[in-house]
Amino acid sequence: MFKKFKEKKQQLVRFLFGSFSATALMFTFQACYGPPEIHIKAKVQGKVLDTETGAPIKGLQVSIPALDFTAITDNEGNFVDPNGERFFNEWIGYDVQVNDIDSIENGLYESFDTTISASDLQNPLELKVKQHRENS
Amino acid sequence: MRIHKSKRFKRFLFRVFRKNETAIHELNYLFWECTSRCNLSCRHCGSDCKAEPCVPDMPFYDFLTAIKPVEKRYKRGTTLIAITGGEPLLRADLATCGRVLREHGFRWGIVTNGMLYDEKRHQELMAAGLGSVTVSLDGLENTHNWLRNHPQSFQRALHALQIIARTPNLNYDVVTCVHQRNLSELPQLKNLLIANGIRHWRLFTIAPIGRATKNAELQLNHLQVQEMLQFIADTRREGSIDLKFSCEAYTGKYEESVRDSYFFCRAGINIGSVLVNGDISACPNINRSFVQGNIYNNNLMDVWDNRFDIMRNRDWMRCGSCEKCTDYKQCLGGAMHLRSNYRQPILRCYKYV
Repeated sequence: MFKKFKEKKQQLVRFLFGSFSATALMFTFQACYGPPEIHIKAKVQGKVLDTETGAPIKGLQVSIPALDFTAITDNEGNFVDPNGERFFNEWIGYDVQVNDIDSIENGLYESFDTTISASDLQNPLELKVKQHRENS
Repeated sequence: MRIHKSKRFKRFLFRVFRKNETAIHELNYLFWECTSRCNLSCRHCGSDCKAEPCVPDMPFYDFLTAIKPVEKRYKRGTTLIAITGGEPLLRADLATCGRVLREHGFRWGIVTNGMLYDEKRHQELMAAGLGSVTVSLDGLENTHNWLRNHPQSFQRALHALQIIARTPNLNYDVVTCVHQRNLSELPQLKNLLIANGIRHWRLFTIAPIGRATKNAELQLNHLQVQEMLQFIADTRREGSIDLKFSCEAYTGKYEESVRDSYFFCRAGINIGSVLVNGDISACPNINRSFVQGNIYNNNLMDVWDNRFDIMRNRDWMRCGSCEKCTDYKQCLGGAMHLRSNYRQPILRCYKYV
């Protein structure tokens, strides 16, 4: 029990250090003469479009919980990570959620979930969402 | 030496982080010394490699069997396999090994002298999932060829780097061992790298171990070390190339200006190795008296979990010149490869440069 608590505490400290940009670099290590660590550097950015009309949608919330990233699309349907480029692990998938948080303003859209990989972020994301219909 | 309050606070935070990392000791970086054969006979070789070694290459199946418990323990991608030697490109099955490692969820990279690295090999390795490469380039043409004891070694290493540097999403860097003959060439070497599109560069000094102990010209004196560290600090400020000093030594007042992070010898904390004869240790350049087990007799994860105390608790390093040193809490006695045996004093220290 105590061991588990201790392990959780250690992982929490690790997470906290990793979360502050000033100390995140501590994780980018390599052995004295080994090859560099493998990271993919990319920026989260993209556009949300209506599946049927292809028109950009304003006011939708795009979030990636693993990155603690949330943004609202602008008039052109665009969203961008204000923190700029980040390091991504190429081996894991990142869940992306799109939610209509302003209700009927700017149209009513269904929630949308997808999983992206670090390589998908080499180009701006294009996320397509469906209009909500009463009968659907 | 007085250190500004903000620096002192950062150093304190770093020590908390280091203590935590030591307690977790996740195996993030595993060297595989796949061969001790080498196609060069460098004057500074730390492992004293030979063209005809007395230990045969380790069969890949043996290594793969040894790392099964690592695969079981950690999530995919947690551990990077750093394939080293000798010269890893001498193994004809290197791409096959890499492909299988990748299938088993390991990222992998190599350290090479570039002699056998051409476009065909590059494509083959990339297709096998190569993620990271380090190539040695130890000065301008004559100096590099002198150190490497081969008249074409410079051209071949540069050719390898040109291929690597233009490959998107491949992590790489150039390493340069700095010694008395190439110290003054560093600015020209910097321009040469930039002109060839190379953006990542790491400098070392040569540890007084292996073949390097026989050549005094390979060791820098304190003033020369200072010159090298100042060059790194100036270049980093200027920003024309991503240059850093390797994590081989604590650098006193230069700690904040020559690397992205503080000196932290992670040997036995996040770094392990499987040596060519199956021995389990940390970095391969660490004295072989620190071997913790052997894959042919022990389970690698059992050894990682239950041994390596000597590297996770470094109180024993507080001997010789470290005994009364006020910086000990920051450096914890320096790098493991600078100790010739348990309770032996450090071979050299850059604190006072």
